[in-house]
Amino acid sequence: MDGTVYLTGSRLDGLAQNLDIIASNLANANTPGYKRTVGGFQAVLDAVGTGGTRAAWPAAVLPDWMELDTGHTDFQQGPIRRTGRPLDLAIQGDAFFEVETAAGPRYTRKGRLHLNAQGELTDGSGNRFASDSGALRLPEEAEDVAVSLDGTVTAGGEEVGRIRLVEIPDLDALVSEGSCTFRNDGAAAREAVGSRVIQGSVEESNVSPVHEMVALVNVMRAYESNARILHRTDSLTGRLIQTAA
Amino acid sequence: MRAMYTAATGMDAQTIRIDTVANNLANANTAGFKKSQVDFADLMYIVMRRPGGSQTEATQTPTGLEVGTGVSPVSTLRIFTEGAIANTEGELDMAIMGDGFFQVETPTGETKYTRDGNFRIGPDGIVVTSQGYPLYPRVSIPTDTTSIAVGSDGTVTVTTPGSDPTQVGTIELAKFTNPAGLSSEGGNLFAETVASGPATTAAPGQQGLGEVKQGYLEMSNVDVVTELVDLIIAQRTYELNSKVVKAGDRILQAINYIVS
Repeated sequence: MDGTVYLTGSRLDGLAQNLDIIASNLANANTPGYKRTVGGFQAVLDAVGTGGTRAAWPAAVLPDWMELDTGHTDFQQGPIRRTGRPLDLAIQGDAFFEVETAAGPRYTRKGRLHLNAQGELTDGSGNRFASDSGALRLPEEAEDVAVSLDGTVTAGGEEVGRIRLVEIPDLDALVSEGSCTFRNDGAAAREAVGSRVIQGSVEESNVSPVHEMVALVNVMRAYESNARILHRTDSLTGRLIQTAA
Repeated sequence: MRAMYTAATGMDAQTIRIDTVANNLANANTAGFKKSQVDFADLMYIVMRRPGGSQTEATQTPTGLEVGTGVSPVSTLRIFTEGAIANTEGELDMAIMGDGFFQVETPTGETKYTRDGNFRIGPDGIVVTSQGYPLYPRVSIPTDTTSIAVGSDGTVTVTTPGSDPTQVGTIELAKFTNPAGLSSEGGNLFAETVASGPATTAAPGQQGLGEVKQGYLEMSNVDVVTELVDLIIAQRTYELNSKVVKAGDRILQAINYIVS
């Protein structure tokens, strides 16, 4: 069978996957702490020079297969929006917050803190934020909770602890687990340097609607033209069969 | 075509955001009302290719391929910032200057909590909310009272003709470790939950509680401009997601064309 059918077919699959990624980004265009996914294509080549007629072709111009491959998360800083809520914290810089989950430490850029019934600082799922000194617990009659630029929490002038800020040496090793949290499969996180915590603000999603819309139009048009090529190839094959019959 | 379902979660989420904005705006002038905000989080990811998988014996893929499945609203955050304080000169209008809630007794005998200090005298002389629920601990006002004074520490004193002012009760306020964990009961009332922690009560001005100010009402803390900005963002995000559904539709159309 003509390689065109497989090539355009795989391209169509990849484009549909790309649309899934755009959909996920746009669905989260307003999710605080969300980091957009970027999909890229790669051409899968025939193992170069393994005999057969193909080896004679310059491999770069005749891929056998296109697939979506190098998806990665774009950790660029999202815009910081002022909310005025004392327990909203945004990070300016590369650092992450660390939260303690039953499955081990997880990392997030989403600083919408909550209090549990014990007065501890948790994320939206009830996981505690890690600190440099035991649990971060606000005293019962806590007034005027203040978080300084380095993450030190004070309540009514008394220091409660410091929210841990870490840097991940290899961002590519972070795996999304939903709820804007990431698991670190790479080298251990280390103490953050040079990042600042801004109280009363949240980091918005770093999805750019314009960018995604352009990508959306691209995917749609590329899909249509590939479908057209596939259709044309199919009718050519049909004509060939008719001629021979 | 997962994209269309993913976009649908985005549209759903924005609908809830618009619902919340609508409720905030509807209560822009409700005394003691506290605005809500919806918080979103991304849903699970489908891993198409694991990061760190082997390409060859010596090389690993540096990044994986994970496709998200959309967004979900995770919680509504009640924002307990103080609303504007309006001078009403009502004898039984009270504003809490700081943290704390008034305690209210419902007909079923439960205690609920409110920031709405718009009280009045009920048929049998006790101080009640606008729905007629008694303030707790109960305060009874004699029928021949000429004036009522509420001190900043919550003491209620009345003057009757021909006698010295007498204290008829004390207002106590309640405080929670996590006020955002209270459940909203409507009628400006909140109820205690496991998440909020138990109420601790004390006199106004004690243990971090605010003082009571007579003749003033705490208005809603809704900021109309911010809400309108939120409304615009929600509406536009909805539209963006609807475009994805349209793109999905065109792709399905193109699929049909292949074998036409």
